[in-house]
Amino acid sequence: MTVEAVKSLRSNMGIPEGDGTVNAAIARCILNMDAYVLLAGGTEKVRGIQRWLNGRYWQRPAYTIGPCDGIYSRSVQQALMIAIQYELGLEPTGNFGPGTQAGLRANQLRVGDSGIFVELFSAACVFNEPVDDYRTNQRSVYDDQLAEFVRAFQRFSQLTVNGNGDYQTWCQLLVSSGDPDRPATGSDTRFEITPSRARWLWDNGYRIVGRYLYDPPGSTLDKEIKPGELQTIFDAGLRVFPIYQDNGRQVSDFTYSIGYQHALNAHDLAVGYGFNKGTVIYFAVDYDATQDEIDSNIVPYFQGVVAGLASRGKRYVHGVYGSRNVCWNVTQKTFARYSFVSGMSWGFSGNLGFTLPPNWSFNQIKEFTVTNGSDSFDLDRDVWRAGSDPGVASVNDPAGPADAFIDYIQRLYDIAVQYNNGDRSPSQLVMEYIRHKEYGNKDLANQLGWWYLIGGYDTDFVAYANSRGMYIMKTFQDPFTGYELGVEHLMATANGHLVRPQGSNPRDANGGDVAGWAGDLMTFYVDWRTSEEQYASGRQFCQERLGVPGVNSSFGFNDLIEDADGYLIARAVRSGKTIVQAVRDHYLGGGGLRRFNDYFAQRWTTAENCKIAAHNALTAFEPTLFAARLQLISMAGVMLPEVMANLPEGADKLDDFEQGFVDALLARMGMETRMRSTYQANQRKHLAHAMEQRSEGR
Amino acid sequence: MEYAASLIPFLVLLAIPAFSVWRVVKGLRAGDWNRPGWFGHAAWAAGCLTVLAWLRGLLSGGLDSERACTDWHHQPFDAAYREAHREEWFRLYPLTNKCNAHYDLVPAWVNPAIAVFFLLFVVSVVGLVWTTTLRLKRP
Repeated sequence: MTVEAVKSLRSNMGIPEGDGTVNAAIARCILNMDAYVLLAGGTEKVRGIQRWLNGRYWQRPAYTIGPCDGIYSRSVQQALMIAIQYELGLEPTGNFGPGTQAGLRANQLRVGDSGIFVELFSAACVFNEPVDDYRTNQRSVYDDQLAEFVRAFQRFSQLTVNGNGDYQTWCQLLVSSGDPDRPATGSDTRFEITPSRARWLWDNGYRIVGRYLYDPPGSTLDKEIKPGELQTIFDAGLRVFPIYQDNGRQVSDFTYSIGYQHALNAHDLAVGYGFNKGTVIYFAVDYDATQDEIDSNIVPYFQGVVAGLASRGKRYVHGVYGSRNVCWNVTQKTFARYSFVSGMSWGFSGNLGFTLPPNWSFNQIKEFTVTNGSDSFDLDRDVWRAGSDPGVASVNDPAGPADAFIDYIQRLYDIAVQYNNGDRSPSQLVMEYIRHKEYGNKDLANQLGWWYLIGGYDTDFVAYANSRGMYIMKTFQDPFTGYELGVEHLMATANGHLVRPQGSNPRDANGGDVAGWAGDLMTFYVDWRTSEEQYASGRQFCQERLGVPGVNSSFGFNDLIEDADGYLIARAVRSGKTIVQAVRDHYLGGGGLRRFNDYFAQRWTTAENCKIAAHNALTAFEPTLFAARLQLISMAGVMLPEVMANLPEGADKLDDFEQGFVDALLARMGMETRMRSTYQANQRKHLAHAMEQRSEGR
Repeated sequence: MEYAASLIPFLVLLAIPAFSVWRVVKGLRAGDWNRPGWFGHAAWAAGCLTVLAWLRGLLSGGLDSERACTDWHHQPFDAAYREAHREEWFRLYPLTNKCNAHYDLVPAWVNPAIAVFFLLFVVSVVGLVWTTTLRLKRP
């Protein structure tokens, strides 16, 4: 019996069963905590690579048999590195040293290549998936499909996009710094940026620099922004992004109340420097925090940061600086807008076995000393991701992030009032104008589809507004989360709910819902069905990808915000407000602070209603919903939910997915409520404290 | 399995002209095709198939052709090309909905099928009128 058990274990490890012998390497595996069967959260694809690595290298002296649990982790990353070093003919160390780097330079890959390096390269690609919606498989021939994934990975990682397994791509797949000598346009430093340093930065290709808001008492670094320094930076054509670090080098530096105090201090300092409303401030976690520490201290610290910034009116938005794992956790659990990744610490446990977070804006890849004539200063080279945090190019601007959007709505509304055709309200004309191109006039199917779902738009008003110089604004920054919101989707949702308001039964769904949450849910259902290999459970798929901050998906966090805001704006307009009043109240008043709770309460009221409405949207035989499902689901080559519900176990799987939708909404509401209640509790505490101090003063 | 199941709603729609197709084939085999009823079934079947083929082509981009290109067909979406050929995406026939200069979302069989079914429809209507007229003139 024991022999059979050992044979089974060896088979699970991916090594030959043999006669069931236990040697030292296998005995070590029996005594450690590694698993050799697929665990929850793992995939067969990763497990296949783990077994392949074990099977190929287990008898090599420097190789340790790794887990086969399907989960990409530090040990898997190390195993891959050792395998590469063996294939390069090096003495394996597991480190990304000069020998490994030289070896990879000599083994660059392209379409048509085959062999062991393609197998190792494609395995590394699998460990770094998904990249947006792209996935791949391990393979021995470098084909077009692998090149397509590599191009997506290169785009995501801000590398040269060529689809080849070149040196920079190898590095980026294997270590968090990637190639530390690759071109970068970002930087950060504790040194003052003087005119000559600013000139040096510009001349050497840098366009943005991170500077510290604060230098704590007792520090000898003198790292805070100096008077006049920001103007020096701007005069040189550079932009700046603010960093807040007060120690932050050990777990005891992070608690909720410390985070709260840091946020208050950061806010006051940023206001003092004149940073504009909506600026992202990066709060630093400058050490290798473990998962336990992240859960126990780091996340609560950032919850404190959020509450502290909220107590000052949400003028600034929080970002996070830290290892990849810290950035992932803080983003998902506290809605951090951007991640500034400390990639150069590639040996950090928080960087090994984790992919770049989807919301990364800066990747710190190298620290070096700049010698500029007689001057020298330390500089960190940061890869800035195009399209992410632009930093700031000026200070003391009077406008907030949503002000331009509200002004735009006001101008468009004034034109709609002048137009006054009596058929549609000016607010509806504004919504139609903004959504008409993407949601109504893209091609014939788009035109007919949206006409059927939410009606046509006034073409004469479009021409009228265009002749007065109006245009379609694409995005604006949400003042509460810092996320870029899509104006066209927002207004299509509002338009849909305005002209097709929900019926008396909150469990029903209609064409207006398709313009908002129901359409997004149908598209998301397609994503789930096409990712079934990774996500057998629809509920888990929703948990990981539906409306999750920092995670790119077809129903992302910004989509959910747009659905909620569009619904609430439509409700406000239906109750008699103009669209200008509605957006002003929502984005300048406090409406956006409780958007998810208001959305849920007004649209569905209860979780049960929400789930039944989701079921109806996906399966009810109602002409509008069915037509939408045909276009959004069937045409994508995916079975309709009503078909799935009639397959064996299909009803349960669909029910699981629908529950995932409800869970995702409840999770966002819970986070919003926690943030608001902690903010209010702290407000009460601070008020009480102030009263005490005042009475003591008397 | 997933793709095959996705075709179910279209198979259901194909059931609409199925009875008429069966009657047309049966009439051909029996040699009694030169009657108004046979041409009526032929016209109905050809008309339905024309509409279904056209709908198949029309819906090929879903509600969002950009997403259809990038996510469903893994093709680059060339916005500049789309804008330059904008009027083509609104044409009733021949249908076209391109992601870029080289890839059309409308399957290649759709436009020929529309043409053939429409031609059969016209011929069937002419046959229907012809046989009905002959029958009415019969003493």
